[in-house]
Amino acid sequence: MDIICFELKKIFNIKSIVLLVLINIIMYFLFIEFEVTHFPNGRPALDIYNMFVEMENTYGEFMDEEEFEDFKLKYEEAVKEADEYIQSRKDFKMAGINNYEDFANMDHENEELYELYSDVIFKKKIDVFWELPWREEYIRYYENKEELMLEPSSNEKQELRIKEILDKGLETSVFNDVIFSNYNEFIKSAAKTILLSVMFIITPIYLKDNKDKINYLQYTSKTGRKIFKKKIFAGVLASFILVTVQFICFFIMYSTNNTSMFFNCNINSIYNSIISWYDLTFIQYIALTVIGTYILAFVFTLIPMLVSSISKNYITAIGVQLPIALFSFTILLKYLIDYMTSIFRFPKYFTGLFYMILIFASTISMIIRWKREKRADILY
Amino acid sequence: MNVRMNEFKKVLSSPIILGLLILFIVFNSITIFKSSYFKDDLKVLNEVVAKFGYKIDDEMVNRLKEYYEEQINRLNEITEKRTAKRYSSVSEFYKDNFYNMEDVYSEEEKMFIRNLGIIENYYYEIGQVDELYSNIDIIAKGEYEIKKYGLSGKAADTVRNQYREFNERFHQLIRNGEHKNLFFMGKVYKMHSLLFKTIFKTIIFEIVILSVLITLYLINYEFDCNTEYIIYTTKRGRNLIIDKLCIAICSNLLVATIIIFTALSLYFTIFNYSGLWNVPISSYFNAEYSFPYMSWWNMSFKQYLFLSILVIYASMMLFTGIAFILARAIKNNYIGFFVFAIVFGLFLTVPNMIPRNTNLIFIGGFTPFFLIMNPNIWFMENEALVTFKYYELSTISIWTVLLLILSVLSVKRFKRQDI
Repeated sequence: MDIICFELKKIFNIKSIVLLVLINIIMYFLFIEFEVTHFPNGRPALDIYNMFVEMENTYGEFMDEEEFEDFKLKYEEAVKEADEYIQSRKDFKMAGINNYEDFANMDHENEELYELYSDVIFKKKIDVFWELPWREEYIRYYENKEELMLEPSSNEKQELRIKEILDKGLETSVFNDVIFSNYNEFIKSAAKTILLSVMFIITPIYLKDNKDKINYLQYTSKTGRKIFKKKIFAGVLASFILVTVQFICFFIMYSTNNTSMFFNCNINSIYNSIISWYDLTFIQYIALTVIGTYILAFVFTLIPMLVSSISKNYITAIGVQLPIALFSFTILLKYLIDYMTSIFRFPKYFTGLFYMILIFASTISMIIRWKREKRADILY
Repeated sequence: MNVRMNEFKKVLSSPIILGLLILFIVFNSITIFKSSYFKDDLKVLNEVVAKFGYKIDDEMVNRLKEYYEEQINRLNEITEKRTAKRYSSVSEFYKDNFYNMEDVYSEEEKMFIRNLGIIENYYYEIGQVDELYSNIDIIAKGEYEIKKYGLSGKAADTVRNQYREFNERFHQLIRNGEHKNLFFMGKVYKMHSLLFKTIFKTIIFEIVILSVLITLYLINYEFDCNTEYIIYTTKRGRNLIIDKLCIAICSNLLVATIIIFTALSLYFTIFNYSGLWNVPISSYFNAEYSFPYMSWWNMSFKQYLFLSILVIYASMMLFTGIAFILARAIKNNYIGFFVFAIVFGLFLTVPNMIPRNTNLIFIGGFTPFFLIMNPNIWFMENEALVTFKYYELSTISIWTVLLLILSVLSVKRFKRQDI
């Protein structure tokens, strides 16, 4: 136990921690900050977000037929509000626009009319005019929900799954793409930062000792070559601690996005951009991506360890891991974290299987390395 | 000399550097091959240019018109034979025959129609050039950029001045007729972005990664192998660091040349630029979005390519210098590499925090880190923060001087350092 404690201290030495914090700050400002400070990002995202918060408040997690009637009423009210605004302005009357319907069907090619349009939309930014097209759109979605849901399916299994969702009525869930895609961007960048940090902190674990020739001392001690195993344990523990701390920090940042009211809403909504293999609520989806990141972090603890134990200098360790890191951050994360469990990405069990394969492959290669380490010659 | 040769051998015999080099070359080739699917469509323009030249003037337009009408007649001969219909243009033909082309026409005829469609596109676009350019307002573009970046006060004035200066250049460009030249249609093929953004940016990052690794590897090699005390006691002694720097620069040059040469030779064998080398880079046809690419100087594609490669070499030298200074200060290569990454990140993020109403905001742009981010708009009117006429030149020269001074200081300190 003592050895593990010392190893942890070695991993979290003050120099590494300072660099780690700097790396995290830079990654935060380069990739994550935007998703946190610019949510909802401009308009109409803001209007859609407000609309869904209101819907969640009044209808709860799902919007049934009765509540849909109420939603339509709200639309009528909003139209009335827009009408009143239009009628209160003289320039609209001059241009022959008397109500919202005229406004919506306005000819944008006509410069004079377009001037009026951009005045309301872009200069004065009147809320109700931003909101109305989306209310209309979402009423249309709800009315045609079955067709719209079934439309993108390209094979039988996907179709079956969509029918299952329709049977359960999950598609009426009050949940929107504005929130979901923002979360996906956020978690992708967070995972990138986490994996990079883990790689950074784990890579020197064997290399440092081997370079300083401390391994010969370690071999002759009572613990002997078992130190290799203890280091694995210490490394995994260290990355677990690191990932947890990072997740806490990142989710504190994310909490400023104010999406907690949607935690219990199903993600398979007609207003959302994912159709999942599973009936997940938003909080379950978050949990799933967090677990996924933990698994990846585990794999990305073992890979640097392996590299660390076989490379002779730091340049080799960096050079080997650089392509791995670039590949994972640009391609792997896109498939394993982003839009996880979407039916259009992989067959149902593929994602789980892929994670399993990653865990097994990295564990087995580490076991092989340990077997070799036991018999390794110390002369080279 | 022998010492230098041996230092050079260290680089060449390092499997990791060679491995990365090969990996990067393979990656570049894949990137180029991936976008080669439209290379046959590009050939149509080579033929047009071979027949009529790339310069758009009245004579050329008339000859092209004649040719085009002749071809349309041929099209009508074919269509009359097959479907007894006549068309005044290929787009009309496509509208009518979008779905049933397959069985009616032979392969050869389809090919002919497809190529004629491409020629038609160019022909129509030529007719629009004058009108489009009369609508371009450089001063308004400047205001738009100021708004986009949220600039105010002195910073906004600086940008305005730059755009006023560029406005003169714009009129000169029109007078020279630089915009009226045929080139691969940017709106369709985006060749400028493909070459100068996708490929060049990848190349630059690869070169930066390799040169930093090579420099760190060489400079700290003796500390890595615990041989520094042996070196110190030799006749050459601590002067070895100068040899190391020379070899680092030489190997980086070699690596950069290999990467650039392989990528570009593959690119230009796949995409045929014959007849287009001397087309001005500011040609309207090079434009990919509503606003065309316009360079600060009248230069041809060939010159632009050459200068861009020069900038790549120059930035490689700058990054070698930065890596050298870091390697000298930090003996642990692992920490050194990450410190380099952090410095890179800091130079990209910190300038964003400078208030946007002072001229300080522009300092952030004048760094090699910022320079290599957008190779597709070097020497051109571009985003507000870096739209200075001599931006590339001044960035490179300022940093060269800065890094030279720092390197000399660093070497001097190294020589007097305690063991």
